[in-house]
Amino acid sequence: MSLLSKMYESWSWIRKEILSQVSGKVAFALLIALIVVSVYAAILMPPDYAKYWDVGSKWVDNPYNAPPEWASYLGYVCIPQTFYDLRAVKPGVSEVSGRVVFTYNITYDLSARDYPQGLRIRANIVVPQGVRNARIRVDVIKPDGARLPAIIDTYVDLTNSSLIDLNLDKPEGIVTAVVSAYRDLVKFLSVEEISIFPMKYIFGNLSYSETLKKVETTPLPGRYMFVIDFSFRVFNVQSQDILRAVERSKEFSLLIKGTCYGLMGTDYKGRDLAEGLFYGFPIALAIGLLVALASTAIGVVAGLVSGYYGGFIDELIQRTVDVMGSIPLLPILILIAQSIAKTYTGEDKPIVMLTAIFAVLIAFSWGGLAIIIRSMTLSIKSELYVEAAKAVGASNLRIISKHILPQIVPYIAASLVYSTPNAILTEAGLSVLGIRHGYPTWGNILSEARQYGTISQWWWILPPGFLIAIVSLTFVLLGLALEKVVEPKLRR
Amino acid sequence: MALALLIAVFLTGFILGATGYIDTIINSIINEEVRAYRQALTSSPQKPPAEEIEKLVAQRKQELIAYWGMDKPWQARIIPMVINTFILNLGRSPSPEVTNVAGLQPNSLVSDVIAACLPRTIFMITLAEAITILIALAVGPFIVYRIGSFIDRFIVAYAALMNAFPIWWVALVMLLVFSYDLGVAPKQFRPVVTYINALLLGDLNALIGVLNYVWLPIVTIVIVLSGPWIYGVRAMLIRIVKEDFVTAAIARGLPEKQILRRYIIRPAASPIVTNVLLGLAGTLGGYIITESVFDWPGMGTLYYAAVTSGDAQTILALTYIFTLVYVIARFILEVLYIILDPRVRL
Repeated sequence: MSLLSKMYESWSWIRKEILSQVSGKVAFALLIALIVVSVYAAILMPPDYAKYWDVGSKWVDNPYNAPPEWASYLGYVCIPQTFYDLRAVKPGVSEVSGRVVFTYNITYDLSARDYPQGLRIRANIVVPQGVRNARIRVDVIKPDGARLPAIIDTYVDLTNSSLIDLNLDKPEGIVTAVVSAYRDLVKFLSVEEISIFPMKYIFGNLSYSETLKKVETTPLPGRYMFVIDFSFRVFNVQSQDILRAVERSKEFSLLIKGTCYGLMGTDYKGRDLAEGLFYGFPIALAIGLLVALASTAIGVVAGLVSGYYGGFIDELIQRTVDVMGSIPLLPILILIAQSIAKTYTGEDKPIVMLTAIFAVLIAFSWGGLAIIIRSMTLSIKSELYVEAAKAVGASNLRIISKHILPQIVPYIAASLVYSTPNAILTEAGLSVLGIRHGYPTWGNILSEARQYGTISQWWWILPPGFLIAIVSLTFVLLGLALEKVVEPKLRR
Repeated sequence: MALALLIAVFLTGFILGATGYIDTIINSIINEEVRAYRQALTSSPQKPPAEEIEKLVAQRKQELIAYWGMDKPWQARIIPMVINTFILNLGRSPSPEVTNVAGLQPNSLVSDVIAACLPRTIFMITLAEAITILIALAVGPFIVYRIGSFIDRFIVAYAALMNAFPIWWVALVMLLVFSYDLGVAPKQFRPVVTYINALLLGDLNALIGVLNYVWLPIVTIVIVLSGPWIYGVRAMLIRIVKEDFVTAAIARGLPEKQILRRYIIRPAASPIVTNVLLGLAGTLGGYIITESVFDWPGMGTLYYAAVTSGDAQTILALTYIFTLVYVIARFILEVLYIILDPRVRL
């Protein structure tokens, strides 16, 4: 108890010293903000987050490589995501020879001079007994009056959730539609070009270029009309019953993918970077604190033992610190991480690699503190009051905890603060090099930006770096304030 | 000291062998060669019968296994390599990726590869560090009399900020701005090799070409490193300014310059020289991550290429040299302390 109260006394003194400085105040504010965001993110974090981030099913709806929505203020041509919940739309109902047809007329205003990234219709409907089959057909009427018939025309299996993705599934439909809408250009149209990016032909103005000898497209802003025919072959079923089933379905929607997304944009898989960065907070803090706590604990114990007991063990610890200090850390770390990345094949590879990186970082970073603690222990040990305590029969443990530990608390705090950003920066640096453990950290996002993105995708490169810098800035400022506690000479 | 060298190189050899990394790499090389051999046999005009092919392929595989020493345990391969590294018998690099960084033919001598890459690192990283140190040594004494002034606070804030930003990330941003947005810096840095080679042969005209490539990396490193360097020099000087003998000198009314030269710089010399020498020695190994960001073909990129291609010979040689440089720097320091600090002589 007395040890605890002494430590607490020492701690409250340190806190007061830190808070008396500007850098300390800023650091404290940043630290509290970091902790709050991290705790919040840790609570909200989906279970099995690594998998969720890697193969999350929700990313397919997002545009990929999209800058954030506010990038439009920076001169980016920005088409927002447009989502139509067709369940809420009243369709025109018609019945012809055993088929019930719901016709949805959806208008879409394209105001930017660019092409949307994709078009997707999704249905997940449980239909009443007696519906034999269902069919979705989509026509597009362009602002210039051209009508692309049946860009989607497909039978849908309504027993399972059903996905119709125009971008990926059936480019043939679009090719036929474009050919039948632009009969005068038919000689110059290339099936391959249409299949590569059909959106150009749906949302573009087509014209024949004499110089290039092929059809060129330019974005065509204006009001588009999507005519969606959802038809059912029925036997003894009322159309109202089907309509009710559609209205109560899990999903029936039309999505026109934009070219911008959310607060922070998306990466090459359409992943929402805002989400990745948010969940990166607790991970970064955990990485930093884990390594800092472990290396500080080892440093304190090694320093105390080395200084207090001396002899052979002291010699051993000093030599170890000396040798470790001469071995270059980063090359060894890169070598170990790469060796594991190439040879380990288990499911838990990300965690194994992270653990190995931590272990190396810890092994190489306790030495400095151990030397400081050792020399402090040596000088305190020879003080008169320690001699006196020994003379009255105090145990070693009592002397260490009562006389030595409280005096080295500032150094322990400083070591914690200094080594926290180190681990975060090193982990990110390794990721940037391309040695990837696969766990979705900020460094991992950055490393994917380097590998799969181009350097002009600033929304992908800058934010993770800024966040890493802010976290380390917090600890650097804290260290700056602590420095004056540890080294009174630096005070004015 | 020698112990550190021994342990560093043996540790590297142990990591390479015990994790099975080298075996994985060599196995994939052998499999690739066997596959190519089989391909050549089956597509040759006088195609031998199927059994004959199997026999030849199996024979070839045995030859390759013997050639790479895969019939022996890893210790038998790594330990001679480690010992050879110690006697500076660095051998040849089997990895095309490694020789490619140096711009040499495959299977070149490791010593040639290192000799090719070292000047490029010196021209970028050592030079940048030297400029940074000069700036710090000029600014440090200037602000030590102005502790607490606006400029001092600014420098402390700058140092804190730059401590937080990793160099490689600032490098990415600099590339983004200067190479891609403004277009005033090159996007590819590998061509610098031609100019550095010409410069080393004495062609001073190539200097402009070198500068054209090197300015952005150097500016980046100086921007980031000058913060902590100035702060470090400032802290070392402040410790001495607070000493009683400096106060006494000021009280005696000595001129500021004389106090600085005799009473502050002189006692601060040993810690400053330690930092300068160890800092400069550290740059010779290259900044692995920063060089990779600029795709700069120096020592860091070389090491990384050696690690990713599993070139044990080059990895061992580089680890040995990195550690050796550090150990030599420490040794030089021991000697310098005797000159700089009269107390050590006792």
